[in-house]
Amino acid sequence: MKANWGLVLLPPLVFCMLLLFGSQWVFLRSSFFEDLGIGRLGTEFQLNNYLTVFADPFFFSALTLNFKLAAGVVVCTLLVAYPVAYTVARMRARWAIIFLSAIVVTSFVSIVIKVLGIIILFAADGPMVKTLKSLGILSERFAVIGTMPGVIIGLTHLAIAFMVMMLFSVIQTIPRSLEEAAEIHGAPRWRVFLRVIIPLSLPGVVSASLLLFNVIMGAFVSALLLGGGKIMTLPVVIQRTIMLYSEYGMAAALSAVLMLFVLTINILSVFLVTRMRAASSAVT
Amino acid sequence: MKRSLYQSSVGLAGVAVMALGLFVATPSAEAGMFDGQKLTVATFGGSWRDRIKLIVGKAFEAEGGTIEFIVGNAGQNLQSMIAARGQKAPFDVMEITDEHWGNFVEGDFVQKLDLSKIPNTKDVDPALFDDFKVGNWIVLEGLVYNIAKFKELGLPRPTTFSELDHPKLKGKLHMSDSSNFTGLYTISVLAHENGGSESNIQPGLDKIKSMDMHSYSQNAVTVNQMLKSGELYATFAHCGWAVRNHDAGTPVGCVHPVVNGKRGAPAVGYAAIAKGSKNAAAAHFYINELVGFEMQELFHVKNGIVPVNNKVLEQYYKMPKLDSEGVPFLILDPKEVANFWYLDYSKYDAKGWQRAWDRTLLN
Amino acid sequence: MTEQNSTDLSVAASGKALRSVMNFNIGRRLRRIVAYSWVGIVYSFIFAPIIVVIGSSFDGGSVIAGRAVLQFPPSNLSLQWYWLIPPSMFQSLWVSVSMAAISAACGIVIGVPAALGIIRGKFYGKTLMGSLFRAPLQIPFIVIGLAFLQSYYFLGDVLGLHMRGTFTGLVLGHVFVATPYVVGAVGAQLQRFNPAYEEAALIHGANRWRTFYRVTMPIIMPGIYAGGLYAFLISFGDVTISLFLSGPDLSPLPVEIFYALDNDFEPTITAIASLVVVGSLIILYLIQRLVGMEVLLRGGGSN
Repeated sequence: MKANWGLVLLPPLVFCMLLLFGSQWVFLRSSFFEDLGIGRLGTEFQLNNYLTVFADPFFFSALTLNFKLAAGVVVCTLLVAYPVAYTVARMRARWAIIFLSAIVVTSFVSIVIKVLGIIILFAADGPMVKTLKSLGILSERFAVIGTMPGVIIGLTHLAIAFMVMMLFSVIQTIPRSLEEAAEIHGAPRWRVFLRVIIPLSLPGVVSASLLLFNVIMGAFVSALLLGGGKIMTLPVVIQRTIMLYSEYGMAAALSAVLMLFVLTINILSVFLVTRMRAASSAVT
Repeated sequence: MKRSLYQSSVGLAGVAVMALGLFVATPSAEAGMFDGQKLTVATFGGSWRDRIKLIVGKAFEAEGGTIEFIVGNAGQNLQSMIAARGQKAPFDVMEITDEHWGNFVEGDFVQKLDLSKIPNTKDVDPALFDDFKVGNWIVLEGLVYNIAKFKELGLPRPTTFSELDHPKLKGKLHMSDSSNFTGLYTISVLAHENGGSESNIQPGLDKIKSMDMHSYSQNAVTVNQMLKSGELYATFAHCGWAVRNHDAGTPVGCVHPVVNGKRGAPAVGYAAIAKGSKNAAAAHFYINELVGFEMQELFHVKNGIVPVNNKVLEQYYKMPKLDSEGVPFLILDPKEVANFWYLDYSKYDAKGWQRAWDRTLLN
Repeated sequence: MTEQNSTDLSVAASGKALRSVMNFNIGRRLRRIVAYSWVGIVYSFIFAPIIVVIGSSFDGGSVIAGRAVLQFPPSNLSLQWYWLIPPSMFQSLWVSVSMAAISAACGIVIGVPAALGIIRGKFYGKTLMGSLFRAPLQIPFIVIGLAFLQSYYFLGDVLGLHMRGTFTGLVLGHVFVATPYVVGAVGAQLQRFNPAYEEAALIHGANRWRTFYRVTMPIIMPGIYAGGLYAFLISFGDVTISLFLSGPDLSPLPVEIFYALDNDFEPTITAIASLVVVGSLIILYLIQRLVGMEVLLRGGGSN
């Protein structure tokens, strides 16, 4: 009987693996061939594309820029979204539904529309930015397009809804009774937060953050529109390699490097978190 | 009951009217030239496409055909042709611009034209068309600046690109990067103004770096939005943008670059027929209408482009559109048109320019 | 010393208790105000750009002149742009909706058995299996788009099977990214519930299908809904993958909007964006009526 479940797995496995490895093999294979222009590829197996990627500091800087951007966005989004997710998770069901539905509605709106709205909202002459500048929160040169802080804010804006949804489902698995028990035992609120809620939600938070990190690392449309041609992230570079030079081999090499980097970060994070948890449980 | 004379005469008249109406409404037996044919055209979207529909579309439909429009600029069309490789051509007529022309030739993506089927070319300057492509619009690359803002800052009307390297304009300028042909013109002009040329663009790039611009990607909607809101004070774009922004209420003017004593920097857009297109006859008809008087007139008046049709030029150069200071947006006087500066595309090296740009300005 | 002191002490003690209770209540109320205000601020922040764009769709300015920029706040309210939405936009909307729905459905059909197999199956390498199914989430969308595009060319060259620009081709790309969401959501549900339920049913004589239908399905339903909804949203809003896989007569709405930005600005875009928002409200209302949104509250999951 139990063996049957394994069989159920087989058709989906075949299908998904075909899609995954099939598409990646055809694509990454072209990274080992020379670009002859107009989308044609040479016939000799060679590593020139990779050599160019590693030799030209431009690509490396695009990658580090990407990483800084993604890390910044994840941190900002977490700070903003966690309290929201917690509050909504502790609301009565009827209210929680309303607040969640509102978030879902924003997810229906195209990213291009949202970016357009963000650009207008954050217009340098607009009321919002003017007030923030006069309060000293934003520097005089702030612009939502083309500056790192601006792009981070813009991307955070787009990511909050996503993060709230993910964090909500994590937090609402933490039974309220646990918090109440801690409070009855006299723990002040901040202690309950620090010692009960955050540790319990940590695995979920980490996986949601990683998910967001992956999305931002691969972000193309938002980076293109908000980057203003100044913040050149790797996905944008990859797209230009295709659209401007039709160099499919080079694009594949760049993509391979990007994917490898993202994978490494993911594995590292999971590893670190497991280590942290092992350490903390060893202490307690 | 006998019907009155009045009633029967009314009835008779009614029948007569109906019969007459039927007679008039019945289409003539003469069939249209392109009955049932569908022509696929890859060109710019938005108001450009709408205006083509108004004139060329109507003419084509009068001949029994239909036009389907696909959004595509030269770069996108090149990609589509590459993608199609071997399969049937994804469209019949396509937009091409000079910086991609080499690629189209190399990929053998263009069909030879039968110019006898495009008689309207008699009104077009021979430099603008050949056996493979016909120019259908010209834009004058330049500098679009906010007149009111410059006055406010106490800056005079610019005469060169380089003078925008000014402390008061830091972070307020915009230009297209080298992914767009407009950017190529901006780079080249700035190179020329600073001791370089198309063979040596580094002085231009250094100038751009020193100008400390707001952003570099030409996205019409956001740039126009920012010009209006004051986030940008000027952008290096073609003067059609100035016309559009002026019409939308932002007080802008346009400055034409002067290079080697020549004033005005035209960029030409061509229409060509995709290799493998099965609708060559219809495509020729389309291109012919495209460079005809009505279409070129509409393009000029509404989109601010310089018409390729000389008859439109002759009519309109005497009544140019003026900005809020009374300076014309475009250069239309035939004497001045003869003194345009053309970018030397033979010196254009896509990868080289891009690499230099990336190294000097990015990340 | 004794009685006076003890009374004093008790008064003091009760006073202290009263004060701490009051502090607690005030503290809680304060915390609540702060928490709700924060939610309010963040929500306004999220909605502001959307409201700006939707608001500008009601602008009654000149149809010809006002085309270059967005007008917010709108002048002379009017519905004119709504009537001017070209049919091609509605076509794109339909492509988006059908593509997203089918991708989500396929994601469910493929993802549910996969999740069941991974969680309930007994074999070595379960973690690896789970990672394999969730691998697509790690790949940047642009790489997915490019890889599928190249694969379609390859299939075209080698097998004569032309998938680029076809609806199936487009859907396949989205199914690729939709399935991991379903697997994750359903898997999370399964992990939380004891397989003992199923075993109990089986012991009591129910056959395998009955067990599945009556016991397992209700358990994983929330996961299916949540996963399906995520999958639909990702597919509906996707620009990157669709950019590479769509064809001239088959482009989803986000791609159309993206191209429109490059050329002339059309306020009709803001109009159709508002219509999409209205449509989504209707869909959510229907979900609430038919299934009840509480289902989504229990569903979802991350692991």
